[in-house]
Amino acid sequence: MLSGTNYLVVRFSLLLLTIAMLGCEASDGRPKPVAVSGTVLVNNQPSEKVRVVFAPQDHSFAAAGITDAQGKFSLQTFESNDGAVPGKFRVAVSKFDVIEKAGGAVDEKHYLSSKYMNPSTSGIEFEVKKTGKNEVTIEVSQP
Amino acid sequence: MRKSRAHGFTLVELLVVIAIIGILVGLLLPAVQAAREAARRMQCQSQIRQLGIALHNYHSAMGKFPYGRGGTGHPDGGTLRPLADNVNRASGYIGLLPYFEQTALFNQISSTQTFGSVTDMPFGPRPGTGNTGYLPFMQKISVLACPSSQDITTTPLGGRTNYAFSWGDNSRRITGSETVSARQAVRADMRGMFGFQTCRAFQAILDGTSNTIAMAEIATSDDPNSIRGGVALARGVGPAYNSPILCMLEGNKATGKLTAGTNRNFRGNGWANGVTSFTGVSMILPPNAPHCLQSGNDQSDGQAPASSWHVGGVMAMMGDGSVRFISETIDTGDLSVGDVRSGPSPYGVWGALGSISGSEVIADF
Repeated sequence: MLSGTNYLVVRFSLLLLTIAMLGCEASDGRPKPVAVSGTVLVNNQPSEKVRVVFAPQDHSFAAAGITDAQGKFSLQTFESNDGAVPGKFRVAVSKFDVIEKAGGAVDEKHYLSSKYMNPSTSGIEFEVKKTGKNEVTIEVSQP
Repeated sequence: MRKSRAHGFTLVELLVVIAIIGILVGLLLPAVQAAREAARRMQCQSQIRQLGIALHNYHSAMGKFPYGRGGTGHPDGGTLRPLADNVNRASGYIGLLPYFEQTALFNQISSTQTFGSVTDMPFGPRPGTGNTGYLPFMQKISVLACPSSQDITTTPLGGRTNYAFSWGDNSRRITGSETVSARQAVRADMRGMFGFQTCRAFQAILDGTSNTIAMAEIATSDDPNSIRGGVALARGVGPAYNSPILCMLEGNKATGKLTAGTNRNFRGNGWANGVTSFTGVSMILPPNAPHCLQSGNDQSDGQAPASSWHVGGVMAMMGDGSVRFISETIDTGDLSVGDVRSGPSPYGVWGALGSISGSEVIADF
């Protein structure tokens, strides 16, 4: 049985431990990203292996993602699928294969128009909001 | 008769004591491991400092630093021994050897040598794959091996190094098929203290030697899929329109592994190999990010981040020889910006530390 004092000591040390653990939360001075997911449609069809780059407009934290077989992606800033830092973004999308040529030279076969590969000419913009669900549908038309 | 029971311990007492000892050991063991890693880290720090002294002594003698990659020969010819030259794949370490007390090894490399039935010209064959029979390049050099990192035992392509030359904050490389004028263009775009056939002198480091990284740590690994030590090939993340952040998708920080694909344990796999994926490092992606190459060619354009097994970051040696610990969370600026050729670095404090003349104002790091 715990006596009165012992009970107090146990409670007090538990409290101390909790407070000490609270102080251990990682702090690296970087803003916290929020989850962002989306879909890429090329001519209204979901497209696989499309690389999506979110170029930041009001801070410096870029984010990127790559689409799966259903055309869906989730963004990453620092770690896998951690999302994007809230703010305004311009979006670039590209889809390509690497072609190796003789002698070690390389080329990339691109499937999307070059205007989409540059965030300043793609015309696609998105604002990542601090709260609420961040879902984006990116539509690309390709002749 | 007296019973002897009173002289022994009861089972409960023994169990309690064992449990207490167990708890104490459990508490102590991580502390002991941490202390051991701290000792290893100190050794790695002192070794990179020694390389700094070697670089300065080299500069005193030669009036400039060694190249990051250079050597004998011109555009890639054959690949297997016997070769008349090392097809410009030699690293800066070869010239640096006499400055960290490896004069005997330098003398061996700088003269004609015969191993087995093959005779190699001075400065050896192309280092790496297929030519591991040239023994001087396989030599293990203790000052280059950081004890925190794994030794390469299953597929050694050379003696390991855990210290890489800084190629600055761009991803321009030589692939071996360029014309002479194309190579000149690449040389002109070099932004770091070391580069392809580029020997810098102190006066070229306009940002100041204490603001520019000369060398940084790279981890070696037996596992080609490890982010630390592995290289992801043929990922197509070259500079044209592409963004360094795309390379971050090629690894999972939680598991420490690269995504499935053509992966090789090239990092630090041969100190004699000057190709950036072996002995070069760039200041774009933060420490311990994936290493990506555009094509399946080990010398193609790509990201070459620093890496280590120390907790939370890597050691870097500045141009003045001082050693700083760089955190994984260092400011890397806007990683959506494609390859940079001139002006200030877009890649934050990290990129600014990489460039020799970007005239950036560097915040505390």
